[in-house]
Amino acid sequence: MRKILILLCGVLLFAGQLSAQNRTVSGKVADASGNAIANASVIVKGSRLGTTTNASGNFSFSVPTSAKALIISAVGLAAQEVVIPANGTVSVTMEMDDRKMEEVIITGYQTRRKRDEAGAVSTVRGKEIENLPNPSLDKALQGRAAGVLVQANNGIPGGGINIRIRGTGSFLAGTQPLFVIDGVQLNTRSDANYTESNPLAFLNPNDIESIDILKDAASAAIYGAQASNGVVIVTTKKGKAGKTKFQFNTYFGQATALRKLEVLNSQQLFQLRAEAVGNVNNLPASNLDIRRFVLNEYRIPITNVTTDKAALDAINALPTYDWQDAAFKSGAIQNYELSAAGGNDRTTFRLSGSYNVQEAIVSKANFKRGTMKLDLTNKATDRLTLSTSINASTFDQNVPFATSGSFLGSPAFASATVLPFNAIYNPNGTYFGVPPANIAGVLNQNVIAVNEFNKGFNRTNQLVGNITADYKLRPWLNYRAFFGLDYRLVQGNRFTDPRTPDGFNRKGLGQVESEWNTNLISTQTLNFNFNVEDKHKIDGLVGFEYRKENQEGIGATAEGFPTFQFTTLNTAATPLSTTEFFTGYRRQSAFTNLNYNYDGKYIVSGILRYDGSSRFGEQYRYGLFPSLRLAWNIDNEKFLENSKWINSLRLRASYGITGNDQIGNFDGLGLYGAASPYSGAPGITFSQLANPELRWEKNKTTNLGIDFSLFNNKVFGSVEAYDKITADLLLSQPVQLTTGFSSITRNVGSIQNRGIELTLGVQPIRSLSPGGFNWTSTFIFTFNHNRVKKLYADLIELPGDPSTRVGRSIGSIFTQQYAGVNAATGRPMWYDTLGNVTYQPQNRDRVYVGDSQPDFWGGWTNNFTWKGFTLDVFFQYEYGRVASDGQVNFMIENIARLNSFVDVYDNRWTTPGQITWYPRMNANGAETKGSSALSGSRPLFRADYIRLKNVTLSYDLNSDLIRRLKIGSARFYLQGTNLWTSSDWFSYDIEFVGTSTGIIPQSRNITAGIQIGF
Amino acid sequence: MKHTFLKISLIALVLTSFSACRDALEISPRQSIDATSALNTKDGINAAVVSVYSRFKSVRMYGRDLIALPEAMADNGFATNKSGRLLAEANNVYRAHFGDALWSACYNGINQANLVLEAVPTATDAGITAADKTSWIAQMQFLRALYYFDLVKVYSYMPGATVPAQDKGGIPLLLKGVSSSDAAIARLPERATTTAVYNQIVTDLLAAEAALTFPGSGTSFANKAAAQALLSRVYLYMKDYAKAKQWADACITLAGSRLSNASSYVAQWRGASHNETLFQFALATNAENNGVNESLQTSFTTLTAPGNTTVTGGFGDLVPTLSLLTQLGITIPGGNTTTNFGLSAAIASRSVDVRNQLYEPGTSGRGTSKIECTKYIGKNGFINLDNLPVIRIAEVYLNRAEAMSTPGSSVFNATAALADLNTIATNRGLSAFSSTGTALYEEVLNQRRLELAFEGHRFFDLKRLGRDINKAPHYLNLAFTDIRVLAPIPTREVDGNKKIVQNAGY
Repeated sequence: MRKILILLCGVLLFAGQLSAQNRTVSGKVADASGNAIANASVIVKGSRLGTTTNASGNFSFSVPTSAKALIISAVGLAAQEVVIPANGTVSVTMEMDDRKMEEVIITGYQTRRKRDEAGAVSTVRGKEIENLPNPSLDKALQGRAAGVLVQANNGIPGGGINIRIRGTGSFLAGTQPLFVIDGVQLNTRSDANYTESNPLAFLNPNDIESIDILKDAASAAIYGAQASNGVVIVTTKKGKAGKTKFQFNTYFGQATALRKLEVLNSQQLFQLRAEAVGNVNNLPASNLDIRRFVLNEYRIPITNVTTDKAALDAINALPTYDWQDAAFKSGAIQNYELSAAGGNDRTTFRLSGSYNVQEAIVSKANFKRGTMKLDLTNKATDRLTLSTSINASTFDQNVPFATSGSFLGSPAFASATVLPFNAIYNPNGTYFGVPPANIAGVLNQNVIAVNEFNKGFNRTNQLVGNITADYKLRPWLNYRAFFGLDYRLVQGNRFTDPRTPDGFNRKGLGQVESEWNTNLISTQTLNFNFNVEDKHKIDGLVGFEYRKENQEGIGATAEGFPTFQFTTLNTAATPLSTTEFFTGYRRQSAFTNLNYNYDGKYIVSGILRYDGSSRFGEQYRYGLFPSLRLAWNIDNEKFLENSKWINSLRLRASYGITGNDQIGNFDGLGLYGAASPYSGAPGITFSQLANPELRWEKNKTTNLGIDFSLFNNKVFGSVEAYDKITADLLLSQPVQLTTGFSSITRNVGSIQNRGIELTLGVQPIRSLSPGGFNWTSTFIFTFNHNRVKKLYADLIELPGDPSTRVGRSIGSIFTQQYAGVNAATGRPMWYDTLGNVTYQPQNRDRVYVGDSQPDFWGGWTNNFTWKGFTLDVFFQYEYGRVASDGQVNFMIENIARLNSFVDVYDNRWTTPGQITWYPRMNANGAETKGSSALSGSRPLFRADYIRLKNVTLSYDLNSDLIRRLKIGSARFYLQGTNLWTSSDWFSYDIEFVGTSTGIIPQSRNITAGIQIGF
Repeated sequence: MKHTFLKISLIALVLTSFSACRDALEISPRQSIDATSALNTKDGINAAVVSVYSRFKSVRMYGRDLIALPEAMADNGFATNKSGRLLAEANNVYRAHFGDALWSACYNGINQANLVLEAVPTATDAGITAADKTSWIAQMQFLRALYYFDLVKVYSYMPGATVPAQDKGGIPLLLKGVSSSDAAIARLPERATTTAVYNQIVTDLLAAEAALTFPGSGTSFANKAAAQALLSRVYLYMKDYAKAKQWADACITLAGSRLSNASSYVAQWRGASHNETLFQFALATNAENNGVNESLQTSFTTLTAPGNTTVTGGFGDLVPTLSLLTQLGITIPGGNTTTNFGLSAAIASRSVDVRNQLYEPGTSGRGTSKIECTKYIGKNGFINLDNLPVIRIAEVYLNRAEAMSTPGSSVFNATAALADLNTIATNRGLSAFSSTGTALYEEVLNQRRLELAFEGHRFFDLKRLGRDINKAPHYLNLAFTDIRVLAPIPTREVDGNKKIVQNAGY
C-alpha cells in the first residue's frame, strides 16, 4: 500500500516544469590515461544547475549566459574548476586525488565528498585488502581502520568474526555493526549449526570497491535503531563505459600451522602422572606400586613388573608418537577470478565470477566458494536510470568433527593432549585403537581416525541483490526507488561414522538441517542538491524504508545405519528427533538528512530518523534518532590560504543518538514454549515473562575530530575523540531463581565508552620522477576505555556476575588472585580479602584482575613503490587484554591425565623450598580442603601481541612490454599472512576471543598470484 | 509555490505511509504461544502438567545429580577420573556439590506446579471434568512436595540433626505462581524455617495421597502408594517415627507384595521397570536420552551390556568403594586393599547376597578396569536410556524397620523391626539376622546402604542421622560438622536478595 502511495507521489512530482536555459556547454571528462570518466558530476559554479557525464565521458547541457565556470567532480578524483570558454566546449583531465580528504565516501543513502562530511567515517579501499586470502571482508578490516576491533572466533576457513566499533556498548544486545552491501542491509546472523560459518563469506572480497565505516552516532543515525554498533557500508565494483575490459586474476598457495604446542614425551608424562598418583597416596613417584598403577593405567601388562628395574625398563620402553604431526597438515589455497566490465553511454555493466578454495590445516575442514556477480546500469531516458546489482554465491564447507571444545575427537584439542605412547597407526597402516578397541587415557579416541571417518557438510547458497530506479525530477532533485533482497539457504548434514567410538554403539548417527532466511528491504528516497548563489550549498534526502525478515528451519536426526557407506537418513533404523522453527521481525522507518555548506568553510548537517521495530514491547515500538554534525574547513579561510605547510585542515564536531535492537525477535512477549515430553506426552512450560515496556538501547555519542594534511601532504591523518554513552541498556536482568525464571529482558543502566582514534600517515620518501622510490607509512591507533556507569536498583554488581560492575569495564575479570605455590608443600594458594593466603578462597575474595577487552590496538601499514614494484608490509597489535585459554587450562592441570606442556614439566613443584608457579601434581586436581588448582586468576594470561599480519610484494609489467604482449596490464604478486608474532601466549594462536579450546587455529598462508587485464 | 506543493506532498506521504502500515510491524512467534491463554484449555493444562514431570529428568535432577552425587559425596562412590566428572564431588572439594542448576530446576518446576494449581480451579474449557481437576491438583501437590523435599535435603540440615551455629534454616517456600515481570522482580523471599518446609511437604503429600489411587496411571505418575512411601521417608527424615511407621504400614498393605525375592531380584533390575518401583521418572524415547557424558549408565559403568567387556560404552566415572564392595560381599584378587583396588578389576569371590550380582568388572576401554554398578545399563532399549528410580517398596520396609529400631523411637519394636530387616535379607539371598539393640539398628542402616546403593540415598541418610562420613581409605573423612555437608545457595540468589542468608562457609 505504502509503496503505491510513494509511486503516486512520485508521479505527481514529475508534473513540474523545466526552467528556461539559453546556452549549451559540452565537453569530455577523462582521467590522466585518457580513459573516459562516466557519471562525473558537472555543475555550473554558483548555481544548482548540473548534469553528469555519460559512459563516454561526454556531457552537454544548457546553462544561463551568466554561467562562468563549471565544477567537475568524480569518485576518487580531485574536483576541478573549469572556466567556460567562448566556444562552450571544454575538455577536462581529472587528476587522481592524492589528498585523502578529496575522497568520496558513502554515508548511507548518499555519496558525498569527504571534505563535506562532518562525521567520523573510516574508509578502507578495496585495493588495500585486495587478494588477501581471507574468505570474508570483515577479517581484512583488522588494523586498517581506527576504532574497529576485529577478532576471530575460529581459524576455520570461512569462520566467524567478531567486530567491535568503538568498544562494547551493550550487555545483552548484539555488538556487531550493521553491514550494508550496495544498499542491502544484511542479516549477519550465522545460521549454520554444524560449523563456523561467516555470513559475510558469500562476497568475494576482490569485488569490493570500498568499505566505509560510520563510527559516530551522528553519522550512523541515518540507520537509526540498528546503528548503535556502527555501520559498515560496502560498495562493490561497477562497470565503466568504454571498450570491454577483461581481468583475470588467480593465486595459489599453502596454509601451514603457526605453531605446534611443545608437549611431553611418554617418559616425562609418566613421571608427572606417577607424582600425581603418588602425592595423593603419600608415596614417592618412584614407588613400585605407584609405577605399577600408572603402567596399568597405560595398559602395559604388569604381571612381570615386580621390581624397580622391571618398572623402569617398562617406562623407558614407552614409545612417543607425534599426534600433532599427524593432525596438522598443510592446506591448499586457490583462487580464480574473471571479470568483464564496459558499456556505452547508455548502459554499463560489470560481470565477474570467482572460485575460491581454502583448506584448513587440521582435519578435513575446508571452504569452497563460487560467486557470480552482475552489475548493470541503463540510462532508460535522460531522467530515468535503472540499475541492478546481483550477487549469487554458493559456498561449501566440509565440516570438522567439532569446530571447538574439549571433545575427544576435536583434532586441535586432542592431538596435543592425547597420551603420547598411544600409536596412531597399526603396523599394517590401519588406524590403531578404533572400535571396538580404543586407546589408553581419558582421550580414548583415535582423533585422526575420527576425523577421517566422520563426515559433515555445510552449504550456503546466497543471493544478495537489488533493483534501483533513479528518476531525475529536477536537475537538483532525484527520486530513487530501491528494492533489495538478501536470501540465504543453509543446508547441513553430519554423519557420525559407525567406525568411530561415538558412532559404534549406535551404529552411526545422522543429522540434517536446512535453514532459509529471507530478508527484504524497500527504500524510497528523494535526494536533493542545490546551490543558492555562489556560497550556499544545500543537499540532503528524505526517505522511507521497510525491512522484513523471516527465518525458518527444519532438521532431523536418526541412528542405526546398515553400514558406514550408508549416510542418508532414510537408511537409518531409528529416527531420533525432528525440529522446526520460525522467527522474524519487521521494521519500518522514515528518515531525513539535511546538509548545509557555506562557502566550503562551514558545514552543518542534521539527521532525523524515525524507526519502528516489531521486536519491542507494544508501548515502545517507535523511536526518534536525531543527530547534528558541524565542520569547519579551516584551510579555506583566508588566513591559511597562503600557508606553506598546511595543505588542509578541518575541525569536526558531532552529536547523535542511535539505537540497538539486536535482541531476540520476541523478547518482549510472555510465552509458553515447548518443554521436554514425558511418557510420550508433549509438554509446555512458561518460558518467558512479558515486558511490554521493552525498547531499544540508546547510544549517544559526542565526537570531535581533526583532519590534517601538512608539509606538502607528507604528513596527513586524523584524530578523533569520542564519548559514547549507551543508556536504557538491554539486559537479561536476573530475577530470583525462586520465581521459576532466571531473567527478564529489560532496559536498565548505562555504559560509557570513551576513546581516541589516531590515523597518522607520513611519506618519508617521495620521488618526483615517475617510477622513483616512494614510501608511505600509516599508523593506526585506537584507545578505548569502557565503563559500566549504572546498573539497576542501586546494584554495584550484577547478581551472580561480578564482572559486570559499576565503575569497571564490561569485560572486567573478577576472581580470586592466585598467590603462587606454597614453597613448603607445593599447594596452590590464593589471596583472601585481607591479603592473606588461603587454600580455599571464597566469593568475597574476588578482586579485579584484568580486562578481557584490550586497552589499545591498531595497525601499521607500510607501502613501498619503486618502478613496477610495490611492497606492502602490515602489522597489527593489541595491548591490555587478559584472557584464559581453554586449551592451556587443560594442559596445565596438575592431574596429568592429559599430555602437558614442557614448561609444566620443567617448573612444577617437586621439592620443599622450591619457588614456582605450578603446584605439585595431584591426581585429585584439588588438594584436600583446597580449591581446584585452576581456580581464580591462575589460568589468566596477558594477551598482548604484535603480529606481522601481511606482506605483499607485487610487480607490474611495464607499459612497453604490455603493449608488445597486447594485453592491458599484468601484475605478479607474492603474499604472506601471519608471518611473525611477538607475544607471551603459549597456546596455538593469540588472536582468538573466548576460551578457544579445540578451535582450529589460524594458519600461516603463503600465496603467489597473477593478475592480467586485456 | 512549487516548493510548497512539494513539501505538502512529502508530509502527506510520511503520514499516509505510517498510518496505512500500522500492522506492518505485526509478527507472532510460531513455536511458542501467548502466556495469558496457555492454560485455558484441557490440552494446555495437560501439557503444562507434563512439564512439571519432565523437569525431573534433567541430569541436574534425577537424570544424574540426585542419584550420583549422594553416592560420590558419601562413602559409596570412588571417582575413576575417566572423564574427570564426579572427581571433585568424591573428594568433597569445596563447592563441588549440588549446583545452582538444581535450585533453578526445582523452583522452575515449583512455579509451573503453582501456576497449574492456580489455573485448574477456574478452568472452564469444555471437556474438563471434576476428576481431571482432582487428578491434576493431586499430581501437582505430589510433585511440588518432591521438589521441596529434594531442595530442603540438599540446602538445609534435617530436623534433629543440625550444627546449630551453621544452621541457617530451610529454603524459600513459595506457593504462588509468578506470571508477570513485576511479580518476578518483586519476589525477594527469605528462607523459611526447616520445619515450615517439611510441614508443607507433608501437607502436599497428605492431600495428594487422599486423592490419588494405586496403581493409577502407573508408577511413572503420581500414585497413592508412592505418596505413602514418600510420606514414610519424609517422616523418617523428620524423625517422627510413629508417622513413618504408620505410612509404611499403609504402603506395605497396598503394595508390599511387589517386593522381589532372591531369584527374581537381579532379573527385575534388568527389565525396563522394576516391579518394586512405586515411583520413577520414565525416559520413554531415545530423544529423552541424557547422553554419553552424564547419563546414569555412563556415570556408573563403561559397559554397554552386562558381561560384555569387549565394547566400551560410557565413562564409568563412579564405582563402588572398597567398603561398599566389602559389605556387598565382593572380594577382589589379593584381598580388598587399596593397592589391589587400584590395579585389578576382577572379582575373586562373591557372597550369597544377590545384590552383588549388579556389580561386575567394567571394560578397560577408558583406563584401568574397575568393578562397576550395572543398575543402569540402557534398560529402555538404548544405551544411556534408563528410567530414573525415586522410591521402591524395599525402601519402605527399611523405613519401617528403622522407625521401629531407632533407639528412643516412640514405636520402638525390636521384634517387628527384625522381621522387616529379615524380609529384605532373605529376599536377597542372605540368612535371617538375629541381631538386637544397637546391632540391629546398625544392620538396618547397613542393609539400607546395600539395598539402595547407587540410587541416591547414602549422603542424605548419613546427613539426617548426623553421622560423619568415613571415606577411608580413598579420601579424607568428612565430619558432619564440616560446612561442606550443605550445598552453597546460588551466589546470584544471595547477591540479588539481601533476605537470603547464605549457608555457613560460603
